[in-house]
Amino acid sequence: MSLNRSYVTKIFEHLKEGKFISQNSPKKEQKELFEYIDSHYKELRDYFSYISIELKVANSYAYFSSLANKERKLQSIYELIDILSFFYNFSPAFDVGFRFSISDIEQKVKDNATFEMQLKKLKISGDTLREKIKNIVSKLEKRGFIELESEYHQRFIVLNSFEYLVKFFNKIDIK
Amino acid sequence: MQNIEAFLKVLNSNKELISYLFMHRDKKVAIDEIIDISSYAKLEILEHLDIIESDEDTIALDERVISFFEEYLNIDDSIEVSSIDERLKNIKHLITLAKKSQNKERFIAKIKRELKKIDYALFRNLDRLRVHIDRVYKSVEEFSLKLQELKFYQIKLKEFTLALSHFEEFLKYYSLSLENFYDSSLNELLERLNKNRVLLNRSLIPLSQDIISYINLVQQKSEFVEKVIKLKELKDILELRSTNLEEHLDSFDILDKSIKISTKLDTQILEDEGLEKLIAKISHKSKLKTKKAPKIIGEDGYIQREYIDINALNLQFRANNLSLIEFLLYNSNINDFEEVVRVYCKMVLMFEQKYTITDKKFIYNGCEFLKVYYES
Repeated sequence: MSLNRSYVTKIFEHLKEGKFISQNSPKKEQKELFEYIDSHYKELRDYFSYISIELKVANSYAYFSSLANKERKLQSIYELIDILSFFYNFSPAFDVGFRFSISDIEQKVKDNATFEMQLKKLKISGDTLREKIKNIVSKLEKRGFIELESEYHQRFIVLNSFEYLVKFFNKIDIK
Repeated sequence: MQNIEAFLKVLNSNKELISYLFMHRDKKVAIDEIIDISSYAKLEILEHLDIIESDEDTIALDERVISFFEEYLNIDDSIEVSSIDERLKNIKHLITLAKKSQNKERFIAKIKRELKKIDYALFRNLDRLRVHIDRVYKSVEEFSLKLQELKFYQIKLKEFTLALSHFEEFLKYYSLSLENFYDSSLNELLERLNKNRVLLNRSLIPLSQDIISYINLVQQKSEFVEKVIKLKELKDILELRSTNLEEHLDSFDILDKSIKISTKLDTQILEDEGLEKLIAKISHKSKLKTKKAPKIIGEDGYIQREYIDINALNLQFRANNLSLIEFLLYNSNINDFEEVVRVYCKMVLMFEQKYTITDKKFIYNGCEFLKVYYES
């Protein structure tokens, strides 16, 4: 089966930044890309393997796998622990399909002193509370775990790729 | 209350007050709050008739009135199936009486009414269970509360299933007795009840599956959230070594920097003596073409001579194994023979030092050309 050049380029451009492509993305193009990956996985995997890139597809998301150095991995994991803990304090229901807005978090921080303290400890840059929240949200957005669903309402949706983190942290045992 | 007529009359004359009290049925309403829409005299009558109850300076609707309105308006969201068993006992008793009585119709009418009530109660309770279970799972944020509520509705679902099975047993054992009354509307009702029983059982299956899966998911999710919060605590006190995080590092394989495809050749290749041959080989395969400049039309309207990029042509020639004249004739896209001759001469003059001019000759169109090669 021959590959569509336009799709391959778009997939590469998206995944090369370390992002995910999720099936439940509110963006039509991303949904199409995931469907394309899903139906041409073997060909795409072989194609990218020629340039030493490993394409991985899980239940409903795709990404480029990397064997970065141990130190860098640990830094990423530490940052994700901070971010996840922050979002679970915001809402324990935070999971695939969960919707929230910047204002929701802002309100919760204002109402809850412990939550505010937690945000301060994270040392997120930003002059205002809203800016800080935007910056922490953008950390998940940049990695492709959440996506802006409504620009007008500044509402985000948690994408299928979030399952990757759940799977990973589920493996960790606390002695 | 003496009769229904008097009861309705009192309700009607106090409809504004009763509506207000019903809207605020979950709290005690201060008399000051409603005195504009009623009067002390009216309140006294209502209390006397057990429609309202008062407590110092507050009043509320009597519980029976609230239940009646809630039942009628179908806004009571409680799950109540225990009455079904009571009704079944009542029907069994009515069947016994009807069998013995000369005036069967009176008992049959009551039996039909009770059967309809059971059917209605089963559907209403199943519907409420579905609504409650979905609401709790989707909207209650606190995991411990969510789990507790889901388990409560799981018990309610079991009670419902038991009540339904009692009703099915009743239909199985008493259908014949009821059919023997030879009442057509009762028989039609029995037929409808049997169909509804199948429908109820069918609806119970996904609901039972959902509640189990919701409970499992909430338990798993709750454990996961607790784990992340614990990991955060351990990270903050630099105690993550008490976890097996390092053992699973390999499975954390997200790209953490963007992929850059390098277009620069490896130094080893660049320094290799065979580089030129390699480039020539690749260039030959890729069939590079000289880009021609567009035709320039002069002021007098004549097309001026096309501009040929000699340097680009030289690079192409370098990547080729042919002699210069053969290259220009067959690979350069110059169609005019005179132009070929002109370019041939110009290139030999310009790049003489880089070319090897041999004694071998190439004859074309009656002209002799020395074979010139790029320096190897």
